[in-house]
Amino acid sequence: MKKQIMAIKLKIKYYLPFDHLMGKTEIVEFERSAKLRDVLELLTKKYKGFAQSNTLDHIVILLNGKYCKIDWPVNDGDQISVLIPLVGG
Amino acid sequence: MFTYSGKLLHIDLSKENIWEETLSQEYVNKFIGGRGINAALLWKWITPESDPLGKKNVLIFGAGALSGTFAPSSGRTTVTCKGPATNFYLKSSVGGHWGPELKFAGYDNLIVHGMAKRPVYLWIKDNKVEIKDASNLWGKDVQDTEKYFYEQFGNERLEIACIGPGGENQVKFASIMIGHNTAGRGGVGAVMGSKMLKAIVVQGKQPIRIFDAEKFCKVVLKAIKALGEFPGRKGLSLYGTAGLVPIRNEMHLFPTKNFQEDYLEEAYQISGQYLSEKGFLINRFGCSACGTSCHRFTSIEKGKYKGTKSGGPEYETVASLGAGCGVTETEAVLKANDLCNRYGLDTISTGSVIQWAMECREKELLSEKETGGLDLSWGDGEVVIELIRKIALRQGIGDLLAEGVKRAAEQIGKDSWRWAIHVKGLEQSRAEVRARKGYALALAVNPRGPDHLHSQVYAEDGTTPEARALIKKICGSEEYASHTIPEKRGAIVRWHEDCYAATDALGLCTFVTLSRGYLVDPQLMSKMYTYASGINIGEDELLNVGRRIITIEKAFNVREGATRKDDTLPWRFMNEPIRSGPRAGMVTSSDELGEMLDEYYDLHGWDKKTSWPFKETLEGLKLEEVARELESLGKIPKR
Repeated sequence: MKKQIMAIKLKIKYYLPFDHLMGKTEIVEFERSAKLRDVLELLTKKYKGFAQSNTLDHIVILLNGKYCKIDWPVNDGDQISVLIPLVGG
Repeated sequence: MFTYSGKLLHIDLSKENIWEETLSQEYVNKFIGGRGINAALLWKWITPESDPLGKKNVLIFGAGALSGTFAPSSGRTTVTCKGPATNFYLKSSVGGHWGPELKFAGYDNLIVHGMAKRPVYLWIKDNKVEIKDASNLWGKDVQDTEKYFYEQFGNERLEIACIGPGGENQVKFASIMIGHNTAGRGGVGAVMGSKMLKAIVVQGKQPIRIFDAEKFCKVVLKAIKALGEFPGRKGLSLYGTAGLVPIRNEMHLFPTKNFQEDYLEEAYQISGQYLSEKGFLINRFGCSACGTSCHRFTSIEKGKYKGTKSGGPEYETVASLGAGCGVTETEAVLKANDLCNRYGLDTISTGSVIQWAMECREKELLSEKETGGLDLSWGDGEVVIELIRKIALRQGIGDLLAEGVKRAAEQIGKDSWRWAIHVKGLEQSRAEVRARKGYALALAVNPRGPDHLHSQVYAEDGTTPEARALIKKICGSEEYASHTIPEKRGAIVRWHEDCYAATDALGLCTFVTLSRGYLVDPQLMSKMYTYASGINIGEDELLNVGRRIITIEKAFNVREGATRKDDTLPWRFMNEPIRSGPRAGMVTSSDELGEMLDEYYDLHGWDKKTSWPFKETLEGLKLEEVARELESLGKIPKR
């Protein structure tokens, strides 16, 4: 009997300059045990330009609106936002 | 004297008297320059309880110790006086090239005393100083004033600091404009207007001497290289500070409708990214010796606001005049920004009083008659633009709003004070601090009122290795790198305050010293200063100078009557929880703030009951004269 893999769906939102490369949003699927690290690995493989800045220190990744760590688990329906680091005032 | 011009310039407008003072080695050793020496001069020259808009106030301009050199982003100038919005200490920091030019003209600091009998401007060129008639300029906006000087003098290196009608009419949050840069906060422009001083024009060719040019160059190049390689810098260069909008919005930390909400569906339309993408951005520019060029120049090419061209907008501007008022029409926000720049108004405070009025109208505390028939509904850009005009010219309801949100709320009465977002009388920067505990504390204790340029504690987010390392250094563990916990915030804020003050004294931009990367750290700063000045100073001593500056600023407020109750937060942040998003339900309660204040005062050596510095704290920082004066006034706390 074929093993059924439980999938989760994540929504990823890209902001400038990443959206030039990756579009505005995409839905990706992962196994239930996936972590944020897995998402970044997928994006690095999928998008050549993204690989140059694929650590959390070089980009801002928000998981459901919060700063996050690379070993955080991701869950079905989570939203991940990819932005360039900025400060303001 | 290396890296300094070595002279202070005094101008008494009442007596039309001009004199020079040698910059003392004691001032340099104790306060370095810029904000530091300004604070010491303010302490010396102000009589306690003077009217901020009277002739006894002084208006002090100070170039940073490294301004005029090619130390990275070293063009910052500090403007200092007693603040009309707060009746306390006020400093306003501004970029551009004016401060370096003042040094090239022969002076490190300029102290303006008294009050002219007619409108005047100052002409300062290579140690020659004149007080000139400005009657023909009174009433002109900032752009027309600048245009006049360029036509008169036609020199590319002319640097102009001037006020618009906002300053002339003594709007409590009028700014001083320096090109497309703004000394915006607290009403420095109103003080300049009260002195009938329209502009200060400087031009100079004198060199800045460097003590050890070879070593200075090496350490500066090291800093420039590190900054160039840092990825966080790229975003600022591409999108400016307004590029922060999508990040804050995604985090549900983007203040909307006077901090009633923290998320705006159409926020992207007022972001730096959108301005770039849609062609509103036509140029970028940087301050003296800056390689980032975070400043914007925007233009509207079509529609009802066609022809609008202006510097900016910055994050604080789009957050205050845009989201805060519920306005997402890009062109309207750009037009509002342009008008504030022309009239010489602080965009943060202007947006803040307008959104407060909108909320008062929504809650029916302002009648249609009181608004002069204006429909103050959320999101109407044209109303915001009309209110800016009325405020600058003090017409109708604009006269009330020109007094700032604290005084306006006192006049309207009832519950309107609850949504007046200010501390000490200064409207708060657009930072949502119900969920950011360190930042909340920093805003509460800021001597000039709640503001992002005093101690924005980036490290507490822990988003970069440098930030986490700093938190470990300050607190002993990276675990404290979390902005939602109150523990150790006193220590984090105090370190940042020291570093901000040192940064301002040197004339550096906090974007190179205190943003995500913490790249130009106190060690690098101290080396640059040592090689430039020949005064050997280490990292700890540099931060100690920062502490001394903070303490004399605090002492100034104590002399003016400040107590612990003045170190607080707007009522809304302590009582109304965040409504939506991942931080829904959070407030920074009065108790939580109280605990953070206790830790902060303890670390400083200030009395927890009054917030006043103990005598031994002042003496330990070599502020003996300050201790003596406060003691004579009965304002030294007892153990």
